[in-house]
Amino acid sequence: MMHPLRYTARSARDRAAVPGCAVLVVALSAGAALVAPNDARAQAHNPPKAQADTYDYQWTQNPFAGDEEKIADGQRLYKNTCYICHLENGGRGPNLKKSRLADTAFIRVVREGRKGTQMPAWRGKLTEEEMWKIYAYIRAQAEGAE
Amino acid sequence: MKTATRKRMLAGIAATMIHGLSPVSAAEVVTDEELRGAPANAAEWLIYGRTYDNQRFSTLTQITPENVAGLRPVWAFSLGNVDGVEATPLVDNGVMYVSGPHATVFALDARTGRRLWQYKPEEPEGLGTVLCCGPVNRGVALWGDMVYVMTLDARLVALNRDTGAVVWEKTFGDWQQGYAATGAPYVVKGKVIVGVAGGEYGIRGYLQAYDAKSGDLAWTTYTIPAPGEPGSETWTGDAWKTGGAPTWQSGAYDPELNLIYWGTGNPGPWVAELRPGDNLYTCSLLALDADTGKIKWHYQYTPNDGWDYDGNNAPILADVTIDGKPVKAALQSNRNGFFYVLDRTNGKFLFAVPTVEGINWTTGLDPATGRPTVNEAMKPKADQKTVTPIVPGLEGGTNWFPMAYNPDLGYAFVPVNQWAMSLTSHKKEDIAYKPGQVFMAMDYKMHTQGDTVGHLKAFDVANRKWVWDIPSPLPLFAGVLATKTGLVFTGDQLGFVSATDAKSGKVLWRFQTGSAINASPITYEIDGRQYVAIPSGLGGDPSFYYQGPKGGTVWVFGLEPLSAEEAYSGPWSGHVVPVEGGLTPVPAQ
Repeated sequence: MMHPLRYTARSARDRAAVPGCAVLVVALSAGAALVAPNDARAQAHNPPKAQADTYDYQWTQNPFAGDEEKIADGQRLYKNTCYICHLENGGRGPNLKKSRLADTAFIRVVREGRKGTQMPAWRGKLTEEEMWKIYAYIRAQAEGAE
Repeated sequence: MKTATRKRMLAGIAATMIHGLSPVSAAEVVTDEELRGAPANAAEWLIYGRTYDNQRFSTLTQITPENVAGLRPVWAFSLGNVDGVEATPLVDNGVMYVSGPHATVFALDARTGRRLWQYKPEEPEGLGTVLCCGPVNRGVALWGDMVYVMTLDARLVALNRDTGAVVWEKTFGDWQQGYAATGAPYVVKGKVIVGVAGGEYGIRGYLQAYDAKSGDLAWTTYTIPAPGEPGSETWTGDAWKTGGAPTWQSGAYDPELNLIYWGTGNPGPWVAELRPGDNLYTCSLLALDADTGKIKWHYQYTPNDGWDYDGNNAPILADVTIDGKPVKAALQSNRNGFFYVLDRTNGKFLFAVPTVEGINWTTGLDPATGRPTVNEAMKPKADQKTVTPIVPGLEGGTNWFPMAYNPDLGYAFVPVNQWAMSLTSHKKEDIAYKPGQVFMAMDYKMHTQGDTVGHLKAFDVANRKWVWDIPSPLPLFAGVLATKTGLVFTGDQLGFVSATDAKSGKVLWRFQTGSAINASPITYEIDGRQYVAIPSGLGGDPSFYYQGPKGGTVWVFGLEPLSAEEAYSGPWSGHVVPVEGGLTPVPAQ
């Protein structure tokens, strides 16, 4: 080997370098892959701060839990929108199955994007119903994985 | 030297103009003659590939294999962004022009790293929904008194070289339909040529040329023929309308043949059986008339691609001896795992060699034409069955990063990656084109094949043999620079910039830049000092697979540091500017 360093994926990962003030930025963001192993924990300790959310939600919690047809729609939508960054279990964007953002907090990030990261705003491209379908698919996947 | 007073321009965050004085002349402008004469102008780096032949070969001689171990940082400049840097900086008349992500452009004093101006384009909300691979940008182009950059939302912006002010801008693609831009514009004969990204969004690719001075559209050439045009017989039904063939990397130019060479990307959707035929001109090299943009010949590396084997990486134009005969060749290292040598006068296949081991999407290339015999077992169908392991993975082989060529040795220095992938199509009845939406219809997974992914390899073109191979634990995504003194510079995913002996493949110097290097090194000379510059900053495709320290920085190295006085020579008033209202004078008593 020409190179003196032995590389393993585990050892090269950044660990827990998450200042509290950066949590809003790292959770569920496309540019936040560097904290993916820790984002769930970080979010649990530092939930996104509630900012004034004046959006008039059609639903305030997952309306499609257990609805297989809507979840299948959600899977199709996920593949044609989220997948290109988040892949199946995280890529340039974090693994969404591990996201602890609940219900409207999740929808809000999809709708508005995440400033300072590569997560774009999907309003105008996806309807709220489509966002909820995607959310329902991700939650179903996450529960299936547990 | 003349000095130019720089005006302050305030336009919110859209453009940040830094006032101050520059030691550089404002009178000299870049001409077509100067661009053609780049081979003899070793001190500057005026074109993406340094010269129109893309060799990235410098005849500067101060830095040698004997003294390169003494290279040390001269200055560094933070690009202020964590989204990844893929640019090749340009240097003209003492100024470095470099782009960061989001097509932000910086003009820096190339001796000291002092910021002269910067330009940051505004971006529409939701633009990120059509960026497959991050908000990257691969560089700018120079002509006249202007600097050209392509924004992610497919605008060509001409900036005044001395102020960074927008002179004109042209929208050349509709981002809402998935047309984006990440490459460096390419100037030939007073026209700026631009290409589009969007092969994952069902676009129909094209190239356009704009008058460098006025911004008027000169020509448009689609990379997928319309029905009735030559090549249209390689499509079935309406597949051509959403067939891809993006043009997201720069080109090459042969002034004698008056041909521009440009590579094209993958067809859409990725599921090949949905678009029967060869699908011209996807995954191809095009030779275009430099005046009209008309396609003179094409060479398709991967007909009816089903593996996302884009052929965008621009060729190196080199005059080589093949089987005892002098040949005007085009060299291209492809994502499909082969290094191609073509006759650039007519597009005839000369030979190809594998760059990676265990290629299995094809059982081999036709020795006369290079046409691959496809291994159908390794070509995914629209049946949701996972095909694995396909070698190479879709990242290649060699992705977009430019290799270099040393004409004295006849060696090409090629970064390649040895890895594999799985592909699984979506359910056939679910596959439908929707404007601005992802049109891949395929799930993919990249796989390692052992401990080592990256290899920097030297290829002796005339003798058709690999000379040396430097493994790198992580994939290589940086461009390469070769020098006449027998050095090869590049960067790696651990963040090291390195210098290697071109003949022996011995690594002679390494420096840790703080973040992964996915950009391309250059070299230039000012006041008798030779510098090597390379931007670092993790992002782009490697960020799908690796996490690491982030942040874009341009690093510049030389053999001797500037003196304390030289390094400080300003004025630095534009480098760091006061926050408005942040500090105010002591109130009057």
